[in-house]
Amino acid sequence: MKKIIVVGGGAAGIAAAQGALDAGADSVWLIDRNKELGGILRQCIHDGFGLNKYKASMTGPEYAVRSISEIYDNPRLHISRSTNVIGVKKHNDEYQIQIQNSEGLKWVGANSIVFATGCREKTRGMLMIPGTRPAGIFTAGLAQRLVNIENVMPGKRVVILGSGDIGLIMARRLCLEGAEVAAVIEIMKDSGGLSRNIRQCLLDFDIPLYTGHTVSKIIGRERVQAVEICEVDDNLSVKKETAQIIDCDTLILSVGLIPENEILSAAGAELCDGTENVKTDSYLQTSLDGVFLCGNSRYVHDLVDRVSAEGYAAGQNAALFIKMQNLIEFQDPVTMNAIKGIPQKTDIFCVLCPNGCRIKVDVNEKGERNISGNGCPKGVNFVEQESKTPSRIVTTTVKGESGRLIPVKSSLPISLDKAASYVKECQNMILSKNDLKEDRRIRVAGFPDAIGCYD
Amino acid sequence: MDNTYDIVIIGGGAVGCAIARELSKYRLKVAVAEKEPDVACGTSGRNSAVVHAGFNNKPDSLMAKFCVEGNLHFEEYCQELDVPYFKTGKLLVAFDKNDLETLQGLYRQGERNGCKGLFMLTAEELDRKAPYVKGIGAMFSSNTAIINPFLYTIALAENAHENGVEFLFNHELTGVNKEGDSYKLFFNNGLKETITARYVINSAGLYSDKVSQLFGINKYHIYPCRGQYLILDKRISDLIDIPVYPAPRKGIGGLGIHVTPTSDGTVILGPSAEYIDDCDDYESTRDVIDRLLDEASQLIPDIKRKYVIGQYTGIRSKQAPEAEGGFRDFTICAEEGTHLINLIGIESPGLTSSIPIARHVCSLVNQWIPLTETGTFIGKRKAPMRFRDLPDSEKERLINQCPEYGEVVCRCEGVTKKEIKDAIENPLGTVTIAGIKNRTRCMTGRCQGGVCLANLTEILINEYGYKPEDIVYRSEESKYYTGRVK
Ligand SMILES: Cc1cc2nc3c(=O)[nH]c(=O)nc-3n(C[C@H](O)[C@H](O)[C@H](O)COP(=O)(O)OP(=O)(O)OC[C@H]3O[C@@H](n4cnc5c(N)ncnc54)[C@H](O)[C@@H]3O)c2cc1C
Ligand SMILES: Cc1cc2nc3c(=O)[nH]c(=O)nc-3n(C[C@H](O)[C@H](O)[C@H](O)COP(=O)(O)OP(=O)(O)OC[C@H]3O[C@@H](n4cnc5c(N)ncnc54)[C@H](O)[C@@H]3O)c2cc1C
Ligand code: SF4
Repeated sequence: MKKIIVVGGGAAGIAAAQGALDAGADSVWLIDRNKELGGILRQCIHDGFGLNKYKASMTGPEYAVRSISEIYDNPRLHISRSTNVIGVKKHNDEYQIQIQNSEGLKWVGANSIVFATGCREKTRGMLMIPGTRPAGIFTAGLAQRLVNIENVMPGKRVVILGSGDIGLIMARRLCLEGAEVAAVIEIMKDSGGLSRNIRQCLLDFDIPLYTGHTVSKIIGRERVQAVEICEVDDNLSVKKETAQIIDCDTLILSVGLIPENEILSAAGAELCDGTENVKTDSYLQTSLDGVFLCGNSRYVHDLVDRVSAEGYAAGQNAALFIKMQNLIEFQDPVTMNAIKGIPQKTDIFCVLCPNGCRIKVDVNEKGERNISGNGCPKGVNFVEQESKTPSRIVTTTVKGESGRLIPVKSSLPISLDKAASYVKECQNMILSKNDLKEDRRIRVAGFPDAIGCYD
Repeated sequence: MDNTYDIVIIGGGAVGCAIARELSKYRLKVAVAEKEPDVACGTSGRNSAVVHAGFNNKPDSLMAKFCVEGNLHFEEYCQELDVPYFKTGKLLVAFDKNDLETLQGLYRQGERNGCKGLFMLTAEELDRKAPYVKGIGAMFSSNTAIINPFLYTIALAENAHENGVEFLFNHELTGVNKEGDSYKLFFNNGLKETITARYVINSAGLYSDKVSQLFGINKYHIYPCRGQYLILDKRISDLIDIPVYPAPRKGIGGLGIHVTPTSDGTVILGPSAEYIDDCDDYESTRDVIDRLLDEASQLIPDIKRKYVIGQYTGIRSKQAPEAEGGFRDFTICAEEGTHLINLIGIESPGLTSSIPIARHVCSLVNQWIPLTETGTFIGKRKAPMRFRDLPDSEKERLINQCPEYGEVVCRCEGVTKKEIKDAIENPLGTVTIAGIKNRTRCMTGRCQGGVCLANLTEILINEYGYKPEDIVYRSEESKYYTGRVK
């Protein structure tokens, strides 16, 4: 029996397994080093996933649980968690993969492999930010995991460097959990984050965004005490005379992601010229025959739907490869491209779904309003609501009896001025069996129910 | 607890710990008082980690003597202490005629000092040895080696501890009272306790002048001189397998910016030499970072900004002020009319010299208290397993024995959960994130803790009952977290 191994059980790996199974593979083995499948999605408890794939706006954990459930019971699928893949080599006409887990260290064979190992974050060291090296410096993804999964609060007054979506999402998240976000600093002239996220993560919370600035120095011997920020010139060099100090106890770096493909490059896969990215052809195949690559380990994606589509195609081709059939060319699915950058004052960005439409309201001489730019009728209601009481779907976590955090989202939009008290209410509760209503609903005193995501 | 000791050593750096270990051979009650929560928090954890051969030092100086002696025996020390040692050799590269003359001078000086394994190389020989360096000639020192200074210092301390030395962490000496033949020592740790010591050894590194002042001896002054480093990713270490130094130039307070592989497989470049005001100003600065990259890429053109994964700084404890420049010899003496032995200005090659220095200190102690061996000293230490370095068969056996070897906590460095737990349960009983990092290499790789810090935190909280707010990076003030989210 010919075997396919999928390395990495995030969105890409799960989809790859599904693609391979759908294409008739006899045996698919999905391996992830974490205790649970889902990859980065597990910690992305915010709303905004799955519009293309599931035609619904979901949280990361919801998306993960849903996509896992689609393949979980398949008898041709074998799943190993808490298992680390540490090497690959070619052996005769099959591949050998070295895995390490608490049962041992062994080499296992596969006829085709799909790599879906995700990405890692750029660090302070890579940026070479001058200053001291105290406690209190975190990368954004690490901070996200600490807050949303490990139930650990990184700090009380935070500066975030980088206004990409992860930085923005963390700004809101920390604010809602009671920290003060003193500033978000962006070296470029405009933010690379989605306008929708700037609206709902910064503007909603009056968090100042300094574009054309960078953190020029970290201050504090033991714990971060402040950062120095400076304007930058057109070459992105610091203009020393513009230095100002912002007091904070935490610096969060959201400065980019790098595809994780050490194992593949060590196994000899060719890289794209001048980069660390592994080269793939139009079938998502690397220079190693029968070894495919997808998701954030191929390149860093914004949208999980695309990751899933790509993973699916890679899995499918792996199955076709071992059956020696023609591979199918991968075409990136056309998705609506959400608008990026800082919104104009007059812009209204609909935040109801990941499309994040820019809606224009024109009033003609007669005083009649003309609404345009909305991708669907809900946008009209949004505009109405926004002018009266801006409201948002709020996502947070509640503590289960076991101590584990359960991601939840409000079943209805909550008016912005009450969002913090909603999160506070959730902070104080410990979820017991009695709180569980039908359909994953959790009573939150004085508020709309929260919808929990458990598997 | 009986708070009276025969000897209290101030400072848990490589030198203080080496002295502690030497003294643990004798019938003495010994303690090390260290202001930080762990050993190797000062200069001993912030240097180039090179076991120098001893050709740089003035003939007949203590530096030359102890460095050569240390160099010749360092491999034995490391075997005994069960810590890594790599005899890489070292290249000093000449770029012009003056450099060549300097190197010839060093060669002769080295021979005089008793160094072994020095060779002059032509440009072709250099090219064969290190094609990535473009020089007109070089000196090769085959006896130069690299070590892991954290593991080395920790090993000295643990072995001293196994042989009966007490380690008092978070004990900053702030006051001394002479009481009869002894000293009453006061510490700045919130506790009112004092300690009585018959003899004190001041091995406080950058603060040795201030500690000496507490005993009324004011004649020393330390001029801190900072050295910044950059850490490069493993990808470049395939290329660079030997420390490469430029031929030294006059007047600088160090050996010039060099490129050195580390025992962990990364590469470091640095250090700068900047006289500063504060002994704990470990800042790195933009100008120096740029200069380091510039100079290093002149030395080795393949070095690129994109390989940088981290930074650190060390501070030299110089007795020579900036105007004088260069090196003054180590000062190691029993101060007259006191029960104090001072070690002042233990700068490079202090790491290499640490055990010879310690033996010399014992001979000074012996003049006060005749030393008699305990007869129970065991110098051989067993280090916790370093899983990653083992052959596969051995790894398999270990996982079968203890499944926690199968769980990877730090993927960049391949550190397993068992190793993390060993580090948490270390014999010195100190738990800080930096301590775990220094013992295991966790958080030192490419992602610099991006993944493994959360894993570590989870282990500390779930398996050792830590509260988030009790987890510290280095000192009590460097708390990592403010508490629970909920
Ligand atoms: C903070 C953040 C916010 C985002 N917000 C949105 C959003 O709002 N909407 C949206 O559509 N998209 C969003 N995205 C993008 C999208 O979610 C991700 O691009 C996608 O989930 C990535 O999936 P992946 O499978 O490629 O990688 P990952 O999810 O990172 O999965 C990789 C998996 O591989 C495993 N692995 C790696 N190496 C090994 C090994 N050697 N052995 C075993 N296992 C291994 C890892 O443990 C991990 O589980 C966001 C991403 C981030 C980081
Ligand atoms: C940039 C640089 C590069 C170097 N490279 C090399 C090299 O390649 N090879 C080599 O051989 N040597 C090198 N050295 C030198 C070497 O690192 C030092 O000589 C050696 O580490 C000194 O050890 P120590 O124990 O004397 O000092 P430290 O390690 O500084 O220990 C002193 C300890 O005393 C403690 N202390 C201070 N005051 C008090 C107090 N009041 N109470 C209690 N405790 C106190 C401190 O916290 C500290 O832990 C280098 C040094 C520098 C700065
Ligand atoms: S207008 Fe419709 S499509 Fe556009 S963001 Fe709002 S809900 Fe989504």
